[in-house]
Amino acid sequence: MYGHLPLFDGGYKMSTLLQLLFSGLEIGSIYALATLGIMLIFRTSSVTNFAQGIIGMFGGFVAAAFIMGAYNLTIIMVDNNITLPQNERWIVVFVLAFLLWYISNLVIKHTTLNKWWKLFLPIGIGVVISMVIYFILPAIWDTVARQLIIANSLADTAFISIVIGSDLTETVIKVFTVPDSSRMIFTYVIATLVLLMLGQTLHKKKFEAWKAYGISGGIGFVYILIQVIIGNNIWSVTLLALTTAIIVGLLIDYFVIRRAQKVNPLAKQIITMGIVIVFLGITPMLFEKVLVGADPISIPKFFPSGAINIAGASLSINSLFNIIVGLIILAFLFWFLQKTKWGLAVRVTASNPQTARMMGVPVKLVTLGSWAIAAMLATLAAIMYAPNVGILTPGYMTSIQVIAFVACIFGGFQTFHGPVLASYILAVVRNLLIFYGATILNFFLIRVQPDFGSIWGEQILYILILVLVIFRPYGLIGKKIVKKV
Amino acid sequence: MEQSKLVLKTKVTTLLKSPYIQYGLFAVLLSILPMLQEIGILKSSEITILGSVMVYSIAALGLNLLLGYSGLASLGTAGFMGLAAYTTAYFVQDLGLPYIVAFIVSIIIPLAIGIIVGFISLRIEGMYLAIGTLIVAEILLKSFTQFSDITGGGIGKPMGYPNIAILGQLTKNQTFTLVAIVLVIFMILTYNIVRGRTGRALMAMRGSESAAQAMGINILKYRLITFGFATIFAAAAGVMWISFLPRIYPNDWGLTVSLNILAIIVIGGLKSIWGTLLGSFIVIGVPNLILKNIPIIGNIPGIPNIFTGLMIVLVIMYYPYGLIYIGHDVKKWYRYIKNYIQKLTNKKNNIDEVGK
Repeated sequence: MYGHLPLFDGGYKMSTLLQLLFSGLEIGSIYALATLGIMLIFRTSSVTNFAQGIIGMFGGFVAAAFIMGAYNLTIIMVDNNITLPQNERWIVVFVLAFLLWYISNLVIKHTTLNKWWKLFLPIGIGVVISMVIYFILPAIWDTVARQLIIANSLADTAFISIVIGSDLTETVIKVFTVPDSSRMIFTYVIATLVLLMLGQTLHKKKFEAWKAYGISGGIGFVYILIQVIIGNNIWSVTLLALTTAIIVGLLIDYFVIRRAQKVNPLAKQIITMGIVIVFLGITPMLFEKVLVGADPISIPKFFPSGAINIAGASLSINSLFNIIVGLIILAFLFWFLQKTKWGLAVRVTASNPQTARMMGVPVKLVTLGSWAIAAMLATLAAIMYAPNVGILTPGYMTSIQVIAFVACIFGGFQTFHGPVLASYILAVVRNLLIFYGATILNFFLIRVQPDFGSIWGEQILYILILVLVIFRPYGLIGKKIVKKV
Repeated sequence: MEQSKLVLKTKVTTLLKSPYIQYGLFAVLLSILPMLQEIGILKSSEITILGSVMVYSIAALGLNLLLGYSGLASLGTAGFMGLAAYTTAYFVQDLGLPYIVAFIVSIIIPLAIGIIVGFISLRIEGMYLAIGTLIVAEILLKSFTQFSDITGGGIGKPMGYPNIAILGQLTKNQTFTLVAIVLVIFMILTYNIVRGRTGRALMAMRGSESAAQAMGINILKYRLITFGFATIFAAAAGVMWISFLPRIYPNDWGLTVSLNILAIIVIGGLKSIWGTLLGSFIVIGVPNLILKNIPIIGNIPGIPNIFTGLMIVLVIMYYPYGLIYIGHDVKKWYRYIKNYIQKLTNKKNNIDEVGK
């Protein structure tokens, strides 16, 4: 009944162990990215971010939608068989565009700029505006075109042609329906006009308008080049998803977290749970096209094939890439936190926001920045994790979220490096428990079935961590917080 | 004659102010709803939604004991509900035991786990505790998926409406009444817990643990009692869920349900029994009963979630005590405006008199 036991089956082979270590490290780097995001937000704005996973999910869905060709916004494609639009999506898009414009104006009005922000803010605003112009406005054109064609097909043509003459009608319909190239020109003309208008507004605020103008135009041009030359592939889509993540992070901090400073600490976390529910609603709304479509939603790997052999264990290029990217980003962020002036600002804010503000640290900008970075980290983790899941659902990052929290508790909330270390440990130990669970128990003469590990491994890991929490409530590397009565 | 009328009126108002009478009236009101369905005023689907509103209310009352009255956050509610639901289904469907026995057993099993969580809560607090309970819920959720022999896995586990010894096989509407009765019993239970010694101890602990300890309150005991009660509430909600709704799946017991329950008490009002019911109606009832029937908005997928999420964020930011206090505030504003107008008219009168 108990079959072969891996212990006597050569289960301790070096190659198997290495294999488990590699996959552990790959998943571990995904966990670590998510965990570091949670830690950044926790330390700078004292919020336990329950929305980290869902922000990542949103980014992942943006990537998936573009890579599956549901939205191909730079070169607008109107289907031959047009049906009535299911909803008024363009209203949402329009409101979003307006909000972005409003925010950029507010940022300009309310920030006293030092040397660096004079350089970086135009670039940031430029990115945002160019996103609006090159990705969202075309979506509106797309919908308008659909409406016109529908109007046409609904025999309104007769009426329109009586009113404005048949030639003009045809021209209008042509402009909206003709294939790619001329529509792109049309979009470009409108985009340039909007940019010009914006440049004027910025100039009035004594701002270096030409920089924003130039850079946003440039970025938009680069986006279009990327789209035209290499199309919707995983790299360009990742770039797009990361940009979206920045915007999402900024919006959340600016509109919600910053305004909730006086709310009691427990309620603050519940706000992030509210954000989770909002995103669970927004996702099916924006990505209805993908969710309803016949193909399952998925994101491919960065490197679809190829593997290298290390001491009998095979390590796919994609895993290697994920491990290295994770390590590089973590190394960069730790260097940034420890060695740069802005990193110092983050650490100061983390230790005491009030004092930091008094010392002249721009606390608001620091929290804004950490939300943007955390959202980017979450999205990167989501895109890296997606091939492991296969078919994506709006809840696919929940497990990562839970494990990231476990890592935070395990590593202790007081340091940045504790949770990151803990997430690597968790991933490797989880793999080992799943594979060797039965063997270990058999070693202690407890007879269990060989598939014990794969069924119970994860639960046992969680129980172990709960036990650890009872004995060391502040985690592996945490310090005890002295409470004042 | 006049005086006796007045006495009667005051007697009626004092009687109506007694919470037991209010809860009794509420029970009567709820048991009228199935009759309305039989006449044809309400649809059968609306009865289902109102039933799930009540099921959610039971669980939310339990969480309100934890978060509202004692300040302990928990995200494990859904896990305990699921455990109770599966236990009931297993005992009734697979073992063929009577419903009442299954009910009792399915409350005792989660209670044991709930008390263990209570022990954990002595060591960690605040959001750490929420994450700890989230881990417990995750362990339970994983187990539901793994034990597909008992839980039916992705196919789901059916049970059918309960068959109670004296009453015989219940119909859907009778089960609705059963859920209503259980809800009112638990409302009365909550009222008594909160008004009694336990409730005072909990509120003292919420204010300051050290001060409470200095006053001679045994923290271990009351933490365990709170978690025990919260788990009993969640378990009863789970049993009612499987009794009233046709089929349950492992994914029903994820983080989303826990978040919904949290949303209910935050939106409705912490530390308020009627607030919990109001919140439950807003979170579960309004999107399904009202929002889906609005012409354009109703067709957009995801609107219920956006509504709930925005409600949470906005209520916490701008109305932190919950929507149940809105009546109170409206009264205050009314009084304020009335006084203001009176002052204005008085001034005018004074001026007139001076003029004379």
